[in-house]
This record gives sequence, C-alpha cells and structure tokens, in this order.
Amino acid sequence: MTLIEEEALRDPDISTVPLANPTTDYFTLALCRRVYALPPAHVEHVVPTQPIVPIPGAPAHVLGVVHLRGRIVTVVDLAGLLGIEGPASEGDPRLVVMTARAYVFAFQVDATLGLWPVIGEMGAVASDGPLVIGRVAGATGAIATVLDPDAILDRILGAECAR
Amino acid sequence: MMTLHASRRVLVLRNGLESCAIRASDLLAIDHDGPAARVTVDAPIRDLSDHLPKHTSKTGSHVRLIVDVDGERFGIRTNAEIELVETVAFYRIPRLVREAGCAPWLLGFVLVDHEQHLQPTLWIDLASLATAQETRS
Repeated sequence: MTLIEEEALRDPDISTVPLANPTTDYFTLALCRRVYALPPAHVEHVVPTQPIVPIPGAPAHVLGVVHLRGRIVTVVDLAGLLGIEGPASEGDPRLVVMTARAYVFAFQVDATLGLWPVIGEMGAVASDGPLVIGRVAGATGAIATVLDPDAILDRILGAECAR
Repeated sequence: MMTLHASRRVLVLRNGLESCAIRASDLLAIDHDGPAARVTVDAPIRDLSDHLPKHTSKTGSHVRLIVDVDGERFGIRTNAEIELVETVAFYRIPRLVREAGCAPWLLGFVLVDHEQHLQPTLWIDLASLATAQETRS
C-alpha cells in the first residue's frame, strides 16, 4: 500500500475540481417588449392575473391589492417604477409575487420566460437607472436586464414614480 | 396578518366598478335622502363618491348613512346597493401600503363572497371619513 502524505488528501466537503461551466439562474419575464431578470430567491410564485382592487389615496405606482392564498398582496406598477412604457409583449399575462426585505408584493408582467441558466459574470450597466444592477445573456444569446429587488422596494416605499 | 372581530357582519356597498364595506355596528342609521329624511345631522351631507371616484352609478335612489362621531351626527350620501353579509375575514392594511401611503379612513380589507369568488373589498371607517371630510371642508 502506498502512503499518501497528509497534505495531498482532499477535503471531502470542498470541491477542488473546477466545474466546467458554473451557472447562475435568473427568473426572467417580458414587460413592454423588454426582457428583465430577477434573482429567483426573491420570486415567491407566479399566478394568473386577476382583478385588482384599487386603494384610495395610494401613490400612482401602487395599483391595489389582490387576494392570494389567504393573503392580501399589494400590486405595484413595475413598468411605471422603471419608467418604461410601450406595447405589451406577446404572451400570457401573469402576476409575479416577490419578496424583498420581508415585504411581499406583486406586479403584472406580459409573460414569464422561465429560469435562465446564465454562464459567467453579470455585465455592468451604467445608464439604466437605480433599479437595474446589470445584464445577463441567456443560452440563446438573448439579453435580460437584471433588476435589484431591494431597489424596487425602496422605490415603492419612498421615491416618486419615474413615469 | 389577519384580525378577527367578534362581529363579522358587514354592510357591503356595491356601486359601479367599486365596492366597499363598513361594519354594521358602526352605523347609527340608514335614512332617506332629501326631504323625506328623518334623522337630523350636525354637518353638511357628504357624498361617498367624492372619496371613491369609481363609486358612482346613475341608477338607484340615494340614502344617507348616519354615523355618530363624539356625539355629532354625520350623513354620507350613497346610491349603492347595500347588502348585509357575513365576511370570511378581516385584514389589516398590508404594511407596504401603509408605508407607501393610503387614505386615512381605510381600515383594511374584508373578504366577501361575490359570484362564487372571494373578493377583497375596501373596509372603510365612515366616522373617520366623515371627520376627514369635515376637516377638509
């Protein structure tokens, strides 16, 4: 039997073999013919759209509430918060329910595009505003703008609507 | 977070595109509007549709919802269909809405069975609304 020196033994709990293509998943959606991405940990679930009950006296970007799974969930105008407008993307409109710092809120999207496994680093962007933290490319080469959930929440709570 | 109350009976005011609910126990009376009114009030009659813009309908006769605020009677006019229902649940205003801002007379939401679906409906405090109106006017 060959003796192996202590230093040569690998720690079984730490991978020392580099993965060929490490990926990061992003939840992607279509809104106003643009593609946006969110960290999936912030997306709670996706449901069909339903009538929204408007709230008197609420800011313009707070559209109202819906009743989902025994909770009252606030619905916000993501397009308004992003300051974008335009025709809806083709697809199946959905409500995306997300969390940020223990707040739960939802927004309507034109379609959900599923999870994109993204290889490599997120690309930096300089001019897309404070709600955007970068851009990623999906497997097909399509580009998605990555949104910052905490910044979206800050905008809902404090800032004026961008539109 | 859900809050349960001893009385789950609410008056749902359905009108046009919007509904709202008030606790039945908060109401002093429902009176006729106009010359047939029987309950005297201590302030000008206000219109609910001034605060709920979509809460308007060209049909239906008007009534006055009478509330008592510290011994003063206020009347709020509406031509909504009024229905007494047992609500499934009362909800406070979500924290996000509270912090983003909303009308001070909004108490929260009640779940109301409407056409086989549970619908959230605005739960309003008529006394606060009457006082807010009085302050504003």
